[in-house]
Amino acid sequence: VTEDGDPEATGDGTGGREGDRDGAGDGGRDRELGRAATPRPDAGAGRELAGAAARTSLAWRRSGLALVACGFAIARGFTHVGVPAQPAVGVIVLAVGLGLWLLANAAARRWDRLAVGERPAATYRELAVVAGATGIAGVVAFAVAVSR
Amino acid sequence: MTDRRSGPDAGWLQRVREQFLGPDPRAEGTEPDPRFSFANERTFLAWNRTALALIGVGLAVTQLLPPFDLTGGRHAIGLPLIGLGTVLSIASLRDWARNERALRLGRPLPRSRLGLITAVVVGVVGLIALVVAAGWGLS
Repeated sequence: VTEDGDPEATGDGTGGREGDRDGAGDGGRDRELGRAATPRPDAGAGRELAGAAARTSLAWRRSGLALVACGFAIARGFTHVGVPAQPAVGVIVLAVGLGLWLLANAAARRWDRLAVGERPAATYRELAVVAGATGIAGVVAFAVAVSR
Repeated sequence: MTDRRSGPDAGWLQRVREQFLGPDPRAEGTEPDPRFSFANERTFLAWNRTALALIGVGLAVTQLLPPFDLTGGRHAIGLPLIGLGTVLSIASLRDWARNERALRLGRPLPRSRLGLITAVVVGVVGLIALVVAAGWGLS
């Protein structure tokens, strides 16, 4: 799956300013040359950064909803075809997903009050929660699939 | 008394994490352009949704489909998908950390193996599905 968030996509946030050679592309080229990436985007990149933050927020909400749906399916089971309900596991996955969704919404509101460029990216721990929830769902699914 | 050699606040979870996934990327380097961090984060989330979809499909194949003529056919298709999803969920976290570290240090991004792994497993599962669906091999 390729996500839509190419950081070097041209957002045309500069309004046709003359001599715009300091846009999004420089970060990538600096990286190729082994120099440090642009530490802070200039004002012309603001709209592009806002778009990147919005896409990221939407990706978090989507991920939360995916976990909610998965947890609901686990909790409910498919009893009409003989798959038992696993309420405990399902509720845990569902709760993680719901929590992610709520946190993503709260974060989006908080981000709106921050200046562009001050919006924090996710920490290792936050991403580890998502990876852990998906991993647990996978292990449980594997155990269920092997045993039946 | 517990002996904590990895640092004053290094819990067991952190030690396990550092063993398998590498250190927290924020330990070194400088803050990169936030757009790159956001893109890296979205890529991780996209891989995790892919993992969740693979797990869901694998579970549905093994539990919901009527049996094929070929014995064990449903499991031959579904179990590799669930396994792939489980591996991707954690491996994508490792990729995120490696990318973030490279961004912070201004180095070229490391090459990811997730695409190759996904392509190979999905391709093999496709072949298995072809055999199973055609009912070859056994009756």
